[in-house]
Amino acid sequence: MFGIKRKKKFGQTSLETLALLLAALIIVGVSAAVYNIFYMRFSPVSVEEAKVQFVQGEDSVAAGASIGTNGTSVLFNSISGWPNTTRIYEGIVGIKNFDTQERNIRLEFDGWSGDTTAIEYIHVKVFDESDLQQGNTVEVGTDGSSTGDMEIQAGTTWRVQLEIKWKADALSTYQVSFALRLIVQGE
Amino acid sequence: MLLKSSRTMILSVILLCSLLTASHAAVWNTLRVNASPVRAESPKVILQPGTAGTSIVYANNTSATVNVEATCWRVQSGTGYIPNGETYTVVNIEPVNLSRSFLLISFGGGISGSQPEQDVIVSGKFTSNSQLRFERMGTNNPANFGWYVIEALGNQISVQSGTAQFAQTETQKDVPIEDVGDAGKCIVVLSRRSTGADRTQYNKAFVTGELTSTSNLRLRREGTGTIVTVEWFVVKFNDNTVIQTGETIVSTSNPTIQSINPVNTSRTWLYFTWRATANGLAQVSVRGWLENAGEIRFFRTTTTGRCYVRWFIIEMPETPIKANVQRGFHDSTTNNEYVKNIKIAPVDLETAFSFTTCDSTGTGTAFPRPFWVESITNATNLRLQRWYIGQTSDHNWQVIELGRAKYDFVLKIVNLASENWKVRLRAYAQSNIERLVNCTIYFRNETSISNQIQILNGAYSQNHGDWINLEGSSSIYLAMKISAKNSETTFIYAFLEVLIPNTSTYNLMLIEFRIS
Repeated sequence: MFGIKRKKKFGQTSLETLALLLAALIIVGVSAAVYNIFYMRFSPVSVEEAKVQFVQGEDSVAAGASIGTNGTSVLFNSISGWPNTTRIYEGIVGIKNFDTQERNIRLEFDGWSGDTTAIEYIHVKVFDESDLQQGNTVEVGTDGSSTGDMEIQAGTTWRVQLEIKWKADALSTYQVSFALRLIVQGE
Repeated sequence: MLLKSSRTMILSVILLCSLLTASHAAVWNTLRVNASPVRAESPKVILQPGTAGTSIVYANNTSATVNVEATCWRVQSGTGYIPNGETYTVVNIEPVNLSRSFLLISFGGGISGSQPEQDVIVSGKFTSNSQLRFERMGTNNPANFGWYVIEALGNQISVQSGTAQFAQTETQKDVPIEDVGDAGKCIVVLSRRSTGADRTQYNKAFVTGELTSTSNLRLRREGTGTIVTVEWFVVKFNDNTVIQTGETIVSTSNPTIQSINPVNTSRTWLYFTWRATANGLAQVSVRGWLENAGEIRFFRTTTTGRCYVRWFIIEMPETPIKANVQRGFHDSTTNNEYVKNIKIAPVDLETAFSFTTCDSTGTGTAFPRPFWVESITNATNLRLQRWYIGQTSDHNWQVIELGRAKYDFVLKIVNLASENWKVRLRAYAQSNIERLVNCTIYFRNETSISNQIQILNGAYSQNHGDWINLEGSSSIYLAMKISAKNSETTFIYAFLEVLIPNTSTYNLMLIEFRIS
């Protein structure tokens, strides 16, 4: 008799606890009126040098590259091409891993604007120090186009190659702008 | 109570873990790349059409197609001598297709003194596809000779060759050959050597060759008493070449005029052999030439004896590559000449050969005075040389260029800007290059050339060239030289790379070469 009673009580208690937890979760999820405040403290939040940075490439000057402070951004304002001709900047900018360990990076298309219909293609390729292409070719203008994840070894510099071809009927007044993102994994 | 607490803790840990899993994404940093503006600009370096071949330059002058035709012939040439004490010598050549090649030779004796025919007259033949053998019957003093190996890279000609020998008593030899199908499409090219041990019977070593049927070669001479060995080539033209042949007696009429069916003289050449009834410098020395479209002429400086001239008029086809024949008369005013240099219009040595005949003013037997070795020593010079002076010889010379597929100016590359660029050519794709025996695509200006793409025996030996300076507001030319072994079509796709100096930024301009 005693054993039976205890079992019932145990089962009931478990159910009650579970129900209570579920109710609490539901209440936390849907209740806008009741808050429980948990504190997260960040101290110190420090500034550290970027582990992966843009660095000058062989053609950075020709492309009008301005590398931002700390090497975390780059703006090109002098890229051009001739109609029906492929212009190749073999080293438009470099990507250097300053860390002591390898890093996963990914270069991807972000957006573009301007006379984009006059562009036959803009391709961006990444090459390692052995001149082997890493990852896939980024096709500017194709949503989601990316090199995919690439592992850059500590202390190495990769070059970014830009290939642009305007269509044969492109006028010299035409221009486009485009943006890429370089995603670097890890702190 | 303990159990209850434990369960609650376990549940809490599970919940916390699940929360951790959801929130523990990798840490990502995003670096920005912006290009703005990216401009289209007018080309600074452009392509313009050339005057050789057919070139099409497309919109913006930044790409082009070049159409050219390949040469279907190759000529190898040289001079040499059989050393004193030897009856023969060999010369190595680039391998040829023996069924499409024949040999033309000239000889000139070897010392400044009288010599018998066994030491002077030299024959030539192929001993393999990469070796020639030049031979005489005697061994005294050197014996000089010149030679041309003429090879069809396609099937324009079919060649049979062999050796025949006149016994001392024979004046005629019939040599069975494989049926040529059409004797009217054939020429007979000869050289010979003789056992004559003195200078009194040179005339007996002069031999003619003709086809008396599609399967019989007839060789003839005048007089007996020496053994004469003949190296013969029966050359059948399978293309649209037109052959005329006949035998003309040259005796008391100088010149002797022979009518022929009208020909285009710019692509027609005359080849002949002859036999002579009388010995002597003038008696055996007959020169011949194409006087005009309907007439050939022969000339000796004597009326003594007869020369039976077996002549062949070879009118080369207009297409695919037009042969170009230069000809002229070179007189002689002094009898002490060893060498005559004759200026000719530039030729491509790889497709050019010569055929020259001469008379002689001597009536005696001071051979080898009228025998001259001919050679094209450079693109603009035909050289005639003998080794025993005395008496003058007037020459009728011909330089035959068998389709000069050399295109000096297929495209012009113009730098419109004031700054300097560098340019080079790089092949990146192709089809059917196996048929190309030799193809060179090169830059040239007034003073220099730079080979950019080269194909030898069907494979690239060079698929890109060195960077060449293209100075501001200047231009260079794109030129080609091609030979092929058949009449198919080859495509070579290349980029003209235009480099900004001191950078690795360059432009790729597409040029398609269509070689038929």
